[in-house]
Amino acid sequence: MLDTVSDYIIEARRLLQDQAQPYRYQDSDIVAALNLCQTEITRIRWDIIVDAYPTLAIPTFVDTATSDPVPIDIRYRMPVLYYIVGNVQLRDDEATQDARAAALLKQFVGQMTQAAA
Amino acid sequence: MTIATDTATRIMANARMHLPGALDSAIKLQFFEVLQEFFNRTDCWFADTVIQIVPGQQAYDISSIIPAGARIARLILAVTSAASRSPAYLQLPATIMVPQVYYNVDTVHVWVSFTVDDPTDTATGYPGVPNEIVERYQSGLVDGVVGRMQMQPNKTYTSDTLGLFHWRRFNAVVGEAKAEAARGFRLDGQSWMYPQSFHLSRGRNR
Repeated sequence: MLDTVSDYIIEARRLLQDQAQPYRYQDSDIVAALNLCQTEITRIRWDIIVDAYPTLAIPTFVDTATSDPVPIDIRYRMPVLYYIVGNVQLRDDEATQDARAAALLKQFVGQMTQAAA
Repeated sequence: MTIATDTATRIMANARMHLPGALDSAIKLQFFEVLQEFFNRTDCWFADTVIQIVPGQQAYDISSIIPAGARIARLILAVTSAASRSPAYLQLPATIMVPQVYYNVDTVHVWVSFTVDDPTDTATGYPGVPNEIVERYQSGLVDGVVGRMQMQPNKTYTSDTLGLFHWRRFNAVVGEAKAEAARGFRLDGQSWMYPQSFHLSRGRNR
């Protein structure tokens, strides 16, 4: 579950209610959010990055290689998904979407830094 | 010389229970630091060797007695063949220096203590330490790991209060281990040990 780039794209589309083509959010947008999430994790939880990439060679994922593994520890994969969905929705300017995006990004930080979040 | 699987499993399981969301690699990193501090402060991991003094020579390499995954922490004692203290000193990393130049063949018996060093075991990630010592002070070492990790900021297991509590328990076990090693793990050793407020035993061998 949430092992590869493809898994994150599928689950993100499920939360975004964007599962019918033509997609509102392209695969490239979702993968870009995944890459941004990794940079955020290096900022707030460096130990997760060191655990995932012991040689510190942090990859940049692309939408043309969706079978690539995302070796984030299993306990922190849901927060990554929340970040992806929140980041992708940030570009929408509807009030409900803005609030939802902000809540999801806050949930990401909360689950990364607090035990019960 | 390595930690037994059962011991390592128990230590990691205990640590994980206290540290929700902690990664195994982070726990092992702190475990190495805790072991290094434990052995540095207690000198309970030691070995001895006899140096054959060569007239005119002052430096003697003793790196052959260093176990894999360890380094010498300090020179504990150096005794001549006449059972008197030798003024020998340790020049890091592993050279015994005899200040005075000997004119006759003689021996100097030296005791050195060890602490952990890189590399750790490539398969398990644990440092090479005597399993018997880790088993003996297991609960205290777990307290050290948990204490250090709980005092890290902005983690899912952060807790300053509990971190301090566990760190104090670790310090108490360090004091106990240091005293036990100093009296050679003898039953009839001294009963006083520091710190008094965290006595975990009456000071005698269990």
